[in-house]
Amino acid sequence: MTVRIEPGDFAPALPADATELVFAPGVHRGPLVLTRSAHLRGEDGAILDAAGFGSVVQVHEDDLELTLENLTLRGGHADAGAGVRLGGYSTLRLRGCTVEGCRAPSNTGGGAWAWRGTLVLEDCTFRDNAARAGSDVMATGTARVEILRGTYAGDLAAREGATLLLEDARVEGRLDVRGTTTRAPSVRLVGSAPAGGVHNDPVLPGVVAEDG
Amino acid sequence: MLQRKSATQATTPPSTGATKTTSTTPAAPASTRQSRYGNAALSSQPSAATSLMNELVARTASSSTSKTGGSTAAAGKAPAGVKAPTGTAAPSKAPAGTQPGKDVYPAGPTGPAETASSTDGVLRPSRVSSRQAGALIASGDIVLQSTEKGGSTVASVVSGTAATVVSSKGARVKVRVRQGAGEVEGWVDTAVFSDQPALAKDEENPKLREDLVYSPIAGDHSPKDPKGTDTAQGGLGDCFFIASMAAVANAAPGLIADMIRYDPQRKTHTVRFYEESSRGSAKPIYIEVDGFLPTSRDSRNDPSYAGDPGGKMWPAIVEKAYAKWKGGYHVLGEGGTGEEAMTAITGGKSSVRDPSSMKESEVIPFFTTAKKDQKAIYAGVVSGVKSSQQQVLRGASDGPYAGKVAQTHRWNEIVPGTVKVTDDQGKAPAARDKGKEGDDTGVLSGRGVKDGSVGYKDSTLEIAYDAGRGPKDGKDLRVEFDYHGVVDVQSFLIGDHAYAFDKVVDGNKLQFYNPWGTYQPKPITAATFLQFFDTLALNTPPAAKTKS
Repeated sequence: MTVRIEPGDFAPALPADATELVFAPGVHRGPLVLTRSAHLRGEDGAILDAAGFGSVVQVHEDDLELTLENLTLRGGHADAGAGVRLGGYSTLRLRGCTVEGCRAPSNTGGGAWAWRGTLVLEDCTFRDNAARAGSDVMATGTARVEILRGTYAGDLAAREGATLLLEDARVEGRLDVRGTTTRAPSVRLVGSAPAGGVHNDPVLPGVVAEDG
Repeated sequence: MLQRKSATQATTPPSTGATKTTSTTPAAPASTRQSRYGNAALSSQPSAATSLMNELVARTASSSTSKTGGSTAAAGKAPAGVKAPTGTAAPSKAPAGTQPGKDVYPAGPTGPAETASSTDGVLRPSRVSSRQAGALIASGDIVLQSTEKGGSTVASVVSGTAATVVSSKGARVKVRVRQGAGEVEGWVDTAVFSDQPALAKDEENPKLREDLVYSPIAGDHSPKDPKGTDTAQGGLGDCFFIASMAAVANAAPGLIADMIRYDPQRKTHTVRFYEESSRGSAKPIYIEVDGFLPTSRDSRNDPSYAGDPGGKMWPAIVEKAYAKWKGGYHVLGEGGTGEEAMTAITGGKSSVRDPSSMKESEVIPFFTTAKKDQKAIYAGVVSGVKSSQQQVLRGASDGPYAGKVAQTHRWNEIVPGTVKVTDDQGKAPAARDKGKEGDDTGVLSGRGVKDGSVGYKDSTLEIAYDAGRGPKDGKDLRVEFDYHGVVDVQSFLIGDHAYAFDKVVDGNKLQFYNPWGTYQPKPITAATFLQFFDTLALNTPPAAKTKS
């Protein structure tokens, strides 16, 4: 079932049986906590805005398949993943989305933070996000993050045992890679060279493979 | 954004010397305590921060005895007699025979493969590698020399000085140490190099580590009766981790007691964490640390990071082990989340509930049930709160208009990037600031705005408009902004800070524990919780380990 959402506060009352949500142009107030599989699509000019309270889009559940398309996520302010926060073993795909003005100033992953599951960022634009590390994207824990094309004005980071694939994306910031004493992230760069360089931490450096 | 040591050391209480054994405040200097933001409001106003901490701790810590006493820096043993490495146990592998709830702590080295011997309470690496962090520990001062074979004296440093390996050759190692506002490099015997986590970055000069030294704390600090109130955050921005420890100690004290073991032969502690490698699996990780903790140079009995509000040192031991595992104290200072930290401590599943999805009527029953179910509960406070509109700008014609916005608490500051100046009558154009986190001042700009500025810390603004674009009256100008610091003065809630839930009181209020070592805020209602908390993480400790 497809449901069209008008601008305004939407988080408390999303239809229980909707599998496709279409967001009308305008500002939709979040945060949006996704608890079931769904396809969320924005009409041009649709904005999800957390208004400075929590992460704009949050996924804490396991086994969900989620797609966000043509949406602008902004105004997130959280301890991690102010734009997108993936903590469950689910798959979250952002396609043609913009993540901007999201801040995790005391933590990591201002634009997006993934700890578990799979996060795919396809043709997305990240800008004006802030965090102590990974201002745009932080891949940590056991998460797999695939960044396919798109533009990233800030930094990316990979930690713990995460997997990060960066393919044909433009990254203006740096990529920080750091392991622990027991594991290291795996990073693969395909046609993508972060302008700020790749920085490996000495503890247990991540394995960075570059293909072209 | 963290601006700790240089800004705050001036307000650090004077050292009472290495023989100090009692304290009326938590060990770490009050002014160095950090929210998960680093809390610019605190660090930029050290005297206010100090007075606030004193205000806070006075309610919970009337007097405490430091267990760090007795040993002094000079008590660090000479490297003579250091044994050759006995093995390189894989730290990520659980020891044979390990079963849930029946962990068998491995004997001998359990940290990084380089860590091997400890006959004198100092962990010495069997080999060193470039960029490896550690400290120079010996029975007296240590001389850095210009060449691997000796040469002239480059510097003389006290035992415990933090060091980073530059290179090594034979039994000599070239290290880099901090000296004042700079660094020096020189050669020392490898035998004086000990395995210690890298310190946090100096917020005044992020190219340097903090100007701290490793100092010995003697004895067995494994907890017998751990409580959440044993924990106190120091000068490291890791309230997420301290609050997580407190939350787990509240819910499962037996698990905390079981996670730390002292080896009297090696004079070291081994701390058990868990690493989630795949869905539903968390394997134990054992990290061995010695009894040296970061302190200031002039107060070497008081740990600078996790402190000891009741004389309990186990939180500092656990914090050090976590830092060692993760790659250094600076990694903890980078921040983290409650769900990550609690999973690492208990091995149990963490879950997250977004407070914004809760109804007011759900809040008290939710916490009551979670407490009854022995869940560890961690909660985080929103960092920025929107101000009311303020008419504070005074001037005439096209300006300049200047004024100072009112703050609800003297610690509060404007959040950069959130200022908006508008004309109530619509004549003057809107102006916004483009500041970023960590800025002291910012520029106000907009079409028709000639120039403008904002002071984030002193809350002052000034704006001028292009000819003919100013407001009819300065009273028409409205200023809005987000502020951080004390976001709720009535209950004393600190913004962008993590808390451990303790209990429901009076049947309708929530009592949280502040990892600064005090019961603040005051018990809050469900409405206040929903208004200010944006993070709620729960952890279910494995049943076999929850009993004390």
